[in-house]
Amino acid sequence: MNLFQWITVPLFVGLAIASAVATRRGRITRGLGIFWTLLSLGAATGIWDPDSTRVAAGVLGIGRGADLVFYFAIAGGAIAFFAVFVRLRSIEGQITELVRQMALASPIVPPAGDAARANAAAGDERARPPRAD
Amino acid sequence: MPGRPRLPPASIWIVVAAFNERPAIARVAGDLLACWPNVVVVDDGSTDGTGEAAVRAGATVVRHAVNRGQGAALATGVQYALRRGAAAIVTFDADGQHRAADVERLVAALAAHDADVALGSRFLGGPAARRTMPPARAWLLRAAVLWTRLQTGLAITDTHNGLRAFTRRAAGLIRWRADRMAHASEILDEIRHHDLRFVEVPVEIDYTGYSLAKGQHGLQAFRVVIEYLVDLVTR
Repeated sequence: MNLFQWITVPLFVGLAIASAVATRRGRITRGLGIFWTLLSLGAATGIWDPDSTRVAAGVLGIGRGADLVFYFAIAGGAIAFFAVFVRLRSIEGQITELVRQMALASPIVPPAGDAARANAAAGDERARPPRAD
Repeated sequence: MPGRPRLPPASIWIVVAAFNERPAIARVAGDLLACWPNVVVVDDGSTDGTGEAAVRAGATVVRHAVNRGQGAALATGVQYALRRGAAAIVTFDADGQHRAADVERLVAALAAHDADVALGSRFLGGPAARRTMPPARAWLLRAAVLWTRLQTGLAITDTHNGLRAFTRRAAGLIRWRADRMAHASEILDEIRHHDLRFVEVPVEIDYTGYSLAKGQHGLQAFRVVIEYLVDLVTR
């Protein structure tokens, strides 16, 4: 093993263990936990034994191990991006709902309609300030 | 033609979503309040005093603390109106493009046609109804009509007209989820999904330099489509 392998293989193994522990403790969903665990173990395996990527590529009908890694990186990135995007949209919706409920809790109802309109038409800047409903 | 009794004005709420419309909101609210007693302006996080101007004009104001988009503002206004017991709700643009007199036409159409939704259409009123429309805008809107027809099957002549009327039932059924401009397409989707009876009503649109500057630009149409497609997948 070279220095790069000594550094990165334990890191990815550690990540796999951390994902498994987080899944067991309910901090992440089972699906996400399995995904990160397998991904980490796969990365550790590929770095530990670079020839394994060639074997895996051959099983899948892909020419080179490096191509397999590249394709997985692209696919993984796309999946991660989509997951983050969906999560962001969900958060946006929650923010909107929060802002909405705050707004509905404090509507501003103007004084008696005719008086308010007359004041506005006359440009009377001394009109009474509105009261909250 | 079968119809329903006309709704009394006091049972109708007009919802105006406004973002930085201080130059126009007082006149818009004033024109509406001259005929309709219940007008709620949803101030969508404006920074130019739009809300204050609307209150001075006599409208009820519900204020978003931060800007969330026209769709979100309309949904807030609809919820407010429903909570106040509205029998019908009319949405109306804040930039002065719509005419207050057309509200009566939409409300009357709901009753006359026993419809759940009345949709304003600038293309039914003949050339005079859109005499100041920029040609590029006309083509963009026609493309939107074609997109809607392909996507929903609904034969609607003006798919992005903010002047619409809903019965209480329709307003309660429709899921108002799109925060920004994709809400227009979402409303049509919901009409189809819930099989709501709709009628189109000729209305006039006044294009002014101010309203054109505030309105959507050509490239934003792509954003609307993308937002709509994303919402289909993610919500």
